[in-house]
Amino acid sequence: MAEPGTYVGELVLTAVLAPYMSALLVLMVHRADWRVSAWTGVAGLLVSAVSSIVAFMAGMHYQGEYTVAWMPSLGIYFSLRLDFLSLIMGVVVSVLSLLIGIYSVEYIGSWGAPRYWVFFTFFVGSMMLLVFANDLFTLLVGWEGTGLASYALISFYYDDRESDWVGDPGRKALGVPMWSPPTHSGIRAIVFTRLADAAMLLAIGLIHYVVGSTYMGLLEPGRDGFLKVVEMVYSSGILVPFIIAFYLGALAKSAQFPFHEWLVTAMTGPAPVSALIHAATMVKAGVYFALRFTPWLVVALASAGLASIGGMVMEWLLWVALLTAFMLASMAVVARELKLILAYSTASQLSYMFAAVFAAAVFALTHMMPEEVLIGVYGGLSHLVSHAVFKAAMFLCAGALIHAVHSRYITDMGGLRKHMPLTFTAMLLAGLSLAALPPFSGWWSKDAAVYAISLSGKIATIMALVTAVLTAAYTVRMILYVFTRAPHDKEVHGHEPSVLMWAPYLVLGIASIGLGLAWYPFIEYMLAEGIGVHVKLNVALMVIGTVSAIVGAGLGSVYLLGFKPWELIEANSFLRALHSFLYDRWYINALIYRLIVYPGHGLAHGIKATIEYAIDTGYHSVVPRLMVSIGRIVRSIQVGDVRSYLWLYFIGLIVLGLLAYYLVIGVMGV
Amino acid sequence: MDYLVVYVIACYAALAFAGIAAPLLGRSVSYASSLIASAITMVLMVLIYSSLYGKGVIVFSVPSMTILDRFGVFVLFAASLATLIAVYGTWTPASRWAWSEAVAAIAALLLLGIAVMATTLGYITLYAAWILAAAASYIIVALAKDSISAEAAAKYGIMGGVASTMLVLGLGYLFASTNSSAPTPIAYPGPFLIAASIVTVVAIGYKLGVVPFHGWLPDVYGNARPFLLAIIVPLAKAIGVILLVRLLVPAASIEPQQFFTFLAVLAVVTMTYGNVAALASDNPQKVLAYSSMAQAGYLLAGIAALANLPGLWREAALTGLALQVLGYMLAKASVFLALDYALEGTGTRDWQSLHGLWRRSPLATTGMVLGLASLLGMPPSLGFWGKLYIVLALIEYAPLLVLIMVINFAIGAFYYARLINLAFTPSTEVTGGDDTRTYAALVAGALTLILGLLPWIAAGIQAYGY
Repeated sequence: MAEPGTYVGELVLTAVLAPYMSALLVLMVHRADWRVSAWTGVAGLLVSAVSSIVAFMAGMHYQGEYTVAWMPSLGIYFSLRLDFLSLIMGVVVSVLSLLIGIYSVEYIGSWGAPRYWVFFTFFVGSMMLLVFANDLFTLLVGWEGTGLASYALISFYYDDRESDWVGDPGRKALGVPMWSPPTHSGIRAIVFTRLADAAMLLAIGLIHYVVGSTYMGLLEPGRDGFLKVVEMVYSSGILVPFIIAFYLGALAKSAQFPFHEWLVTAMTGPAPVSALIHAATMVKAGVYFALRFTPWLVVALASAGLASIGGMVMEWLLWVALLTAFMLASMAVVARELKLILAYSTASQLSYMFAAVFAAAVFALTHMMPEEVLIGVYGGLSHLVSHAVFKAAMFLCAGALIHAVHSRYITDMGGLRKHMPLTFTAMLLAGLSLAALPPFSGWWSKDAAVYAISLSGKIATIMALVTAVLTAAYTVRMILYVFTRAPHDKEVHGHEPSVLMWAPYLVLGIASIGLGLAWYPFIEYMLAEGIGVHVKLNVALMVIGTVSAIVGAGLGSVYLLGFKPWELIEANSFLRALHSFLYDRWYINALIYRLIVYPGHGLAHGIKATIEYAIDTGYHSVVPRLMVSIGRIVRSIQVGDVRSYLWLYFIGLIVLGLLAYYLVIGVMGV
Repeated sequence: MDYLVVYVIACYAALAFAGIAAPLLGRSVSYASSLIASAITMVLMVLIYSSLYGKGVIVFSVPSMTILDRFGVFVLFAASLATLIAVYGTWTPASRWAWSEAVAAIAALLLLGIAVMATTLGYITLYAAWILAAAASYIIVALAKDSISAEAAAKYGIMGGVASTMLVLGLGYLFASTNSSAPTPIAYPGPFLIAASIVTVVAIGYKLGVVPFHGWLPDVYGNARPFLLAIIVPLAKAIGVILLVRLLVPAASIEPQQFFTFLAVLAVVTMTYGNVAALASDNPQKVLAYSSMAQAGYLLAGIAALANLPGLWREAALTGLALQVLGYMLAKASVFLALDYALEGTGTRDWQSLHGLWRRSPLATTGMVLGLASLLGMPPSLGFWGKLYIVLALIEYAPLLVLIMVINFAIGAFYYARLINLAFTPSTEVTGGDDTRTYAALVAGALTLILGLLPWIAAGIQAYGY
């Protein structure tokens, strides 16, 4: 590797700013042809991708930063962090953005193109800023930027066309509508994540209060920032709420239970948006947050002697992640919408990454070996990278498929292997990676994650493996439904999209096997070296994991090929109830609406009918009438007769004189 | 150091020429002289202001009691800038009168009065300057030579006569309590000084429009030709502020508690009355007339903050007063010129007269909107900084007063926004075309914004006696 040059900081700065610049440029050329907007956006992404690749090559083993004082009196800096974790994340984000950007040129076309490209590139800039941030305030700027762009792009089809809804129109669970048009989904996304972000903001505020700065360098192990925070919150009796609040924003961003609902309906956005923001990058921000801060927090907890409480909270978080993984995978088994399956799968896979980190943290804290948490970081990061590649490929394929068939339901597809061989190839490669079959990258990375999870005990391991079975099963089910199975009723005709669209997902599909083939020893070595931990291959666990995947894949095939699932469900009332339970997302959406949204709505209406009504009447009726009567008084003073003015003048003089007299007496005490 | 005195005398001479000799040479010469004299004053004030850096306050014995401090120089600068723009703006509307040279000449005399007030300390000279400025104001109002103007000028004159009498009384008391022919921070404390201050405030308050000494103001500002008001409305405030700041030096130092209390009471009454009355007004010119009283209330609050009390921030108060005066003068010049343009040809003074102004003259509308934004205190205009500094000066000592002020700002936003809204309301008949009024309105309005962007906090404004 090249010696770290001083230019790495500037390269990273370029990688962060280039997408922002192209967002501005797109705004400026928004009246031009849509192709101008599109290629302006792609150009910015290209610059970003090239700079971050070069920065990664040059700075892999480089620890550095690029810091400018921003609000120094508040201890706030614009600071970029250059280390292995941020540099590799930068490469993943910018390269995927570039490929997905190229795909979007054709996919989006002319309708809403400037809007799309402004928010798309703005998103990439914000994501890069978030990844490289070395200051919590800088991080927040990127964090909220991604949230804003996500909101705007989920609601991209603001005319709420039915083809882009999520859920079956008319279907209700517990009386709550289970379908969501784009604008509704956008609001859901921003509300769900913002709620949790508020908690994160509180935690960051607390850190700033204790440390006096948001500069992240002060929180690193070696510096005592986190230690002071942890000791302070412990002595105030709020250690547990603090840790939860600190992670809550990340958990919501990465769609963990009970916040996962926003990601499900976020599928109303265009397919490339789902691929980039809701699979490959933004939803990884939460995981990245955990990868970044968990090792530091673990060290701080361990040195403060708070390992047992910390371990307990980490275990709670672990179980939230494992629950999410299982829950969402079970939903994917019965889902009928292609992108919805992928969304469930995304949330489920994100949980693997969280679980890996939290399990390793539990292990590190209970065994007082803080450095062991890096095993979790290794597992989480491995799966993050490989998942980003294959899931992006799958979403892009899904976009092409839905476009070709004019339906988002896999039950309306079938036999598309013949019509769309390239798409089939890409989907198959990516899908086998998701199913974690050897030698795909997903196999390696999931095993690394499962190994980290296994550190915390047998039950967690079993949970992870059961989820792996489900994962393989729904992946195979989906591929069979779409590509090989005979169409349900009529012949389905598809066609390959143009090269601009198929090339990106084919590249990503091939990359998911390519990464797998090169994984051991090359990529494994690079990741392990970068993180600073070497994990021995746990052959027994890998065998069990592989068997789980094969079992799942087998089950998926048998289920579809051997049985007629619909007839079974129709026939058996228990299966029917189970199917509804899974299909209606465990009724969690319905419960959230019944318990929080509708009462909130009622409260708002109540306030509107009472307080708001009173204020409204006050403003529009009482105040104007008051003003009219005051106006009459004023006019009665302003009669136009100078004699009355003079009377007023002298009365004023006398009143002032009396006032002064009173004041003087008051002061002199006479 | 003497060259500074030469500058001051040069200003007097230029303004006196423009006011007395130039009108005899015709309309063009009169206007040109008035504009040049204002410009000379403005430039010389900038020079004096910068050469006062680090020197504080300078008092000259020859000519008697000439004083140079940054506050006075700043106010004179502001007044000459406002005069320059306003007089230029009156060129078109006044051209229909055979006696139009009088407009420019009398504006110069009015400015001469302010120039003397801003650079002199002696009671006698101040009184002479007051009379000069007062007489000039009555004449300007009467210049339209119609019955409405005559009535307005008569009311102005009668009230002014009473106020001038009061001022003589006040100056006498001041002389007695300071034992000096000029206000000093050293005086005998007690009722005598309080009486002197009260009578002075009553006299000068009339000029500012302080309730209840304001009777003439709604009639004059509400009925005279707006382009004439573009000259006197701004300058009247300069007169009031500079004289109050000069003459209340003894009270602010010796009896700060009483000084603060009665000025604060007057400020609250004035701003509230002005704002409420403006809300209830039935035409745009009346709104602007009452808004002048509301703004006078804010200025009085700033003057109250000059009291030598712990917790009051006098430097901030001076900066706030200076910026508020400058912002007010430019804004009112802009708004009244735009209003004059708007009223012309509509044959009405009611709300419809502003309809479609945006289509008739985008320049005038832009200037008016910027001016109104400054009056309502929209950042980053001058009006915003002025109000902000006054609020900052008071916040620690008198939070209640600040609260009332802020509520008043909010009330003001309503009627200022209504005027802005009217200008953009569509109208059927559209006859456009720009003249000197619209150009001047644009320049004055734009300056409230542009000057608001300068870093005034570094200006280091000081005033004699504070």
